[in-house]
Amino acid sequence: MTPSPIRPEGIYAPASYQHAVWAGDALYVAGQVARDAHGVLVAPGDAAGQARKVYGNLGAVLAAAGVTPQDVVKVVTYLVDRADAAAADAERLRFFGDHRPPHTELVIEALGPDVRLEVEVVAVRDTR
Amino acid sequence: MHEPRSFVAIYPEGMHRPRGSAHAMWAGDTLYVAAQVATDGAGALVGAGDAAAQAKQVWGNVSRVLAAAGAGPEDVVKVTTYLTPGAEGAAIAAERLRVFGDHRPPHTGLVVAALGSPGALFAVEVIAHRVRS
Repeated sequence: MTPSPIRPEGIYAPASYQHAVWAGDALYVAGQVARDAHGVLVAPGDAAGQARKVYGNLGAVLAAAGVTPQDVVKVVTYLVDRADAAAADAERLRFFGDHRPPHTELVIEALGPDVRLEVEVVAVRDTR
Repeated sequence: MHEPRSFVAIYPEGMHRPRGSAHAMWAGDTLYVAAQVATDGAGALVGAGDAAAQAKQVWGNVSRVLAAAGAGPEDVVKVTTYLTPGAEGAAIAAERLRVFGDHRPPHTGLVVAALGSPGALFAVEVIAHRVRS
């Protein structure tokens, strides 16, 4: 069975990939960055502002797939500066609430131009 | 929001609880393990600047998390090692091979600019699979 494409509302459509795809009960979500519906980066240079947008986009992708933040089982945060960790963490904790998916935080050399962070997740549809 | 029933968050006894993250989580038969670094039970870094010492601690932590989840190294199906620049890869790989023995899970090694934990020379993230039912 090929699941229907996941089309999140109000977020940009990448030209070369989908935001998320199901593999059985697992949902692989592409790294989310702080782009608006037109693909324009919001809050350049502002990690907190970007983090809000990143998690807003992530919420839209998950909702389009019919799952919630509670269904996320793996989170990777990519930063370009460890000093942004506090802003990224604050938004992550707000987004997930009492849910505590395993988290990996990496500082890498660069993301897209002016992009301060990117967040990639895996979610699982509970069928048991 | 519903609480997924098959999900089990793993917080091994005696291990530091990271902020907003379980050390691992079962979802069905798959165990997702957060990146482990060379921290002790209080969250303090072990083996500053010493890759071999950190390797023992990191892989010890991976093993503790797996054991707390009722799994073992033989159940690991994917390994990612994140090295910081200049970290001595040989000592780290040697410890990985010691932990896994004859088991040879697919491994990806990356050099990143830095890790979330200051002073950590490397981190290891694994995914395990074990039929639990």
